[in-house]
Amino acid sequence: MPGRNSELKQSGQPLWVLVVQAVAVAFGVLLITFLLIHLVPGDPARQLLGPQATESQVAELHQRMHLDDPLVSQLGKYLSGVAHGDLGQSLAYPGVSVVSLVGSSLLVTLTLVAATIVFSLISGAAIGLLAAMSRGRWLDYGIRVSAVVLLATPAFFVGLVGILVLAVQAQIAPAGGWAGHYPENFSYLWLPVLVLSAYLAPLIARAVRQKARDTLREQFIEAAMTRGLSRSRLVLRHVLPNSALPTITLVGLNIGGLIGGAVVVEAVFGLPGVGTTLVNATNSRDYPVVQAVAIITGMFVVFGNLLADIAYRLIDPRLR
Amino acid sequence: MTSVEITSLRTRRRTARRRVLTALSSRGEAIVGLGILLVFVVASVIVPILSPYSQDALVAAPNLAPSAAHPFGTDALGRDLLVRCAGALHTDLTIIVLAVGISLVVGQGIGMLIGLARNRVVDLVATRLIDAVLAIPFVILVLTLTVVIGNGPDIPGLPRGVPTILLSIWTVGWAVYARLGRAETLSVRNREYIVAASLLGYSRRRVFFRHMLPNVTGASLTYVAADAVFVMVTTASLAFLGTGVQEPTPELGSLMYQARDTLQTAWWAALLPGAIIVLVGLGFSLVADSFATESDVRR
Repeated sequence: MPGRNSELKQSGQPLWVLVVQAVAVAFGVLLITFLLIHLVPGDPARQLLGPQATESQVAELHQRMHLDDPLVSQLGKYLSGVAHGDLGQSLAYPGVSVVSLVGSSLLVTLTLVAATIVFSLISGAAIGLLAAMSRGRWLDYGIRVSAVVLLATPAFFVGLVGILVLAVQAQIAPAGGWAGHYPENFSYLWLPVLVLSAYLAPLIARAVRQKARDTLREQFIEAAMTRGLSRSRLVLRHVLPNSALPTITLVGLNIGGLIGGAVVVEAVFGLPGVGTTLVNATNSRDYPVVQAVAIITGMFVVFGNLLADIAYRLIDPRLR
Repeated sequence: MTSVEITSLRTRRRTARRRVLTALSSRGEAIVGLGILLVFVVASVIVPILSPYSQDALVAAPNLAPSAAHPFGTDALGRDLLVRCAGALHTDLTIIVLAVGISLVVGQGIGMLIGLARNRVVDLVATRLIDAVLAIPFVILVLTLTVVIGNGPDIPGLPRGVPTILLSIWTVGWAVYARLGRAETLSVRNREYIVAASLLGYSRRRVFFRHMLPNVTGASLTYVAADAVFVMVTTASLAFLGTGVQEPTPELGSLMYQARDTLQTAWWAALLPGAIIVLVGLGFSLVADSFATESDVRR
């Protein structure tokens, strides 16, 4: 897996190196986003104005959007804007800054992702531990199969099935929408969280099961059992902390996938998050918004990974 | 025998048995996976030939349930869903093959070039840039690019909207392969057989193509199957979000998007294309997992 190399490398490096690397990659995110948008074939101004645009309209929009300036000066304007917290003006809603458009929806998405992580960790760890401790092969097999199947299932498919079964047939969840304030929001949140967890929880269960199995085989477990330690204490105090460690790295590696999945889930359930903002901006060719979403999500992934690395350091006593 | 020796003998037998089972199951996984893929590839080609309906023709009342005449029913406009699904599968498979194939070749090439670079700064900057590309979620990145590229060039032979998606995926899909290729090149570059080959006077081209290339592509080739799943899910997700492949080109995600309003009454129209996505993805995943297990076992 692509992630594995970086895992091994990072355990040996001091903390400040990781931080510097993260900052470098964050800067890279800004650069890459800019380059991708400006070097890829296609004229955003023309897209925005539509096929009926006259040449003079296109030229005027080019001027307004500074698209005719040399690339370097465009890059400079863009970077200085970002440094001041200004990500530009929305083209679809004139006068509205991109930051305000995206910022309000960001909280919804973050809530969705955070709740998914928590739920997946708890359920995944529970299932994984159960599978590791069970004698029978069926739970084990079931987990492996469901992990493979769910990874191949697009989030919107799980969402549609979830809506069909739980919202429409069983009527225990709303089919979408948002309340705008807590605690009502939770009733709109739990099905999307469940749907999004379908992707992460099996991964966690698989990792926990693997690590728990390996831990149970170690010598010190036999030693503890001969000393008369009860099974539950054994699991809680020895197996669980050891098995929890790789899940941190797993969550860090999958933040990108989670955010991408959140975008789709929001579209399915009509949640007013970053995903919906992005889709609307896509349809109206509002490329400053689209660019900003790419940057913000990239930043979250970079710093999410950094947090996961730091947490790993703090928790694993071997690395202190 | 002391208890310690008995334990180690049992453990040894267990480990050997586990290794055999893993190898066998990985082979079995691969066969099942390839079998599933073969079934669907064949279906995507044969169904349009065997079916009396064309994928764009309005042939019956809309939203009919599956029946003998229409095994998948009809969609919201009255087109036969089975033929549309077959066409959609064909679109998706074409996208997967082209997207992954080019990404693999370009990415591996770039990765090897970076790996062979002598300059440390070049390596550092390049890896950070690759990390940056990989940091932004794939769906969002491809979505961004489809906005910029817009309605891409109309290439004859490819359905409408496909060039845009392909260009978007190619722009960022190479990054994983570059990272894998670079890592392997770095580790192989100073191995004895490479050094020996160049000392023996073989031309740089020969050392590169005959000695280095076959040994640094393993990780990338292993990743191809997993990448296929990503590309499939991303393409379907983008079509479901309303961008990407455009009407009337059928695509599994956009078929589901069109059917979402009739989810309650005509659930098969939304779920059947979805089931195809899951099963094809499953086929790729099984192949991917079996490759991963194989390389682990060998080590």
